[in-house]
Amino acid sequence: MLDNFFLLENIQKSVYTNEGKTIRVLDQVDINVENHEFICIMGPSGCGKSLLLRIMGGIDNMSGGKISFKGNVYEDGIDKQTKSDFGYVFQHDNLLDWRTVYQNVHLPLEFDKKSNTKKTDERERILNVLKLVGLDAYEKSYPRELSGGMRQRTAIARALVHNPSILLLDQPFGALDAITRKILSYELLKIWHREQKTVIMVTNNIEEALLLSNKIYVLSRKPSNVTHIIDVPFTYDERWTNLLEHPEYEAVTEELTGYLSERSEHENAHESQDNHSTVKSLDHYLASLGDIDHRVSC
Amino acid sequence: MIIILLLWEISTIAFHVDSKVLPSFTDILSAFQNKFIPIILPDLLITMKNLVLGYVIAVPLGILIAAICAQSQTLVKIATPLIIMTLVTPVIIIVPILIPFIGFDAKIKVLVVILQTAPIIILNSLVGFTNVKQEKLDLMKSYGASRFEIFRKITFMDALPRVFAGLELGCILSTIGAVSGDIAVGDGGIGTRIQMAASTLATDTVFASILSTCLLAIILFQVVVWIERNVIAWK
Repeated sequence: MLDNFFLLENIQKSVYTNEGKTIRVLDQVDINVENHEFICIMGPSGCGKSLLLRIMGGIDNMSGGKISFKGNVYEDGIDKQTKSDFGYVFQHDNLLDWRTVYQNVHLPLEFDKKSNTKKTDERERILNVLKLVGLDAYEKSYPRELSGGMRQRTAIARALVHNPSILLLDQPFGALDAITRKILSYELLKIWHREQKTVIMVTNNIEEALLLSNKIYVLSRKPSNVTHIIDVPFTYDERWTNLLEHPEYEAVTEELTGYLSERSEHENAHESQDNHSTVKSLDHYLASLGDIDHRVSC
Repeated sequence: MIIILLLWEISTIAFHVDSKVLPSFTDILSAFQNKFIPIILPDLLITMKNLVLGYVIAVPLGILIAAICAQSQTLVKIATPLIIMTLVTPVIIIVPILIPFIGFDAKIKVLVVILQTAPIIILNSLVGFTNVKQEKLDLMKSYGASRFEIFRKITFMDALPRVFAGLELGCILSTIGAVSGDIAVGDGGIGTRIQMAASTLATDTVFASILSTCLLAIILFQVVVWIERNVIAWK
């Protein structure tokens, strides 16, 4: 039971293009998530990592494979009742413009039919999660009145309000500026620790993945498989200190960068056949900046 | 506006224009003052009754038809050209077809208003209902929401500004529909009044009636705008 908390076996997914072609995006993906873990999923763009997350959350169907969750097996994806055990955060906050912050956070409770929460309890829960993300003073504001960071905080509060066991985050800070991104990352770390949630996050950012996760799954280009699993060795307390000075930080970063750039170089080699000079000069340029991260993560 | 009215006033006096051809603006105002309550108002009220009744039926009907059409892509493709066809066909020329079915009843005027108003409401609502961001629909899928819940909580609300744009246009068109109904069917109403006054060369009454119709249309339009502003508070 315990090691079957959230298990994805052999997940396959094909999509149909407009020209009638079938493209296999997910080949055979296996992921094993333990309770209270923080997992990051990384991979080259277009590898289907967001799609994988959508399958986990029951937004998209899978073409094959099975999902086990809390001892139940789902062959056709997570069912309707179980969906209330997931909280989903999208890349763009995806708030509903016509609802206030309070009403936006209320949304998941409107579908949580099994728990007949009273109005007063609902209010308390909503105010609690708003307090958790530091927005309790803004319950009556409309999304247009909020900054990008505040909007994404609201989205996180909305994903937490129905008390799900698993949080699914699809590049949640991708649309934010660097500083807000950093602040929200630390807040997410705190929330994860305090609320004892299981978090699965798709990200492009190595630094962010190392700061937050216990385990990083690296996907290949499509049709994708899990090629590497990295255990992140930092304890919770160490994450609040300067991780750059951690003895293992450099090694882990290099390992992860290596895994990610394997594919990236393969990609470059592929492209260089028809666009040799441009790729080469761009490579030189990036190398002169010593900025390997950018090449890998974008 | 004031300059145009002044020019009008001065030129009708300066060029000795016959008031049966073009009355001066002050003539119209005095006709408005003298004839509004005894002659124009009763007819205006008949037209207004048909207009409001037709509009009030056309609004939910239009939104409902759009909501049904929006459920399937094929339906949207079939419905859109049909709606545009009804939209560009002047309803006044359909009246002769309708009379054998309904007769010279007041109902026919209400029907004309509905036919004139509903298509633009359908068209605007349909555009709104079919252009909801996929991400918002995904959010609802992540809750396992039913089709009806998705429509009620997302699609309808998201489309509301567009729906209101349709309601405003519909409000303008419903005035046109009501007056052309009067003209085509006869039997009272401001359209009939304008026709009668024109045939007896009571040009000042014609203009005063047109003026009252415009005022009525503007007031109704402002009512719809006021409702919109109160409903869409988040903009």
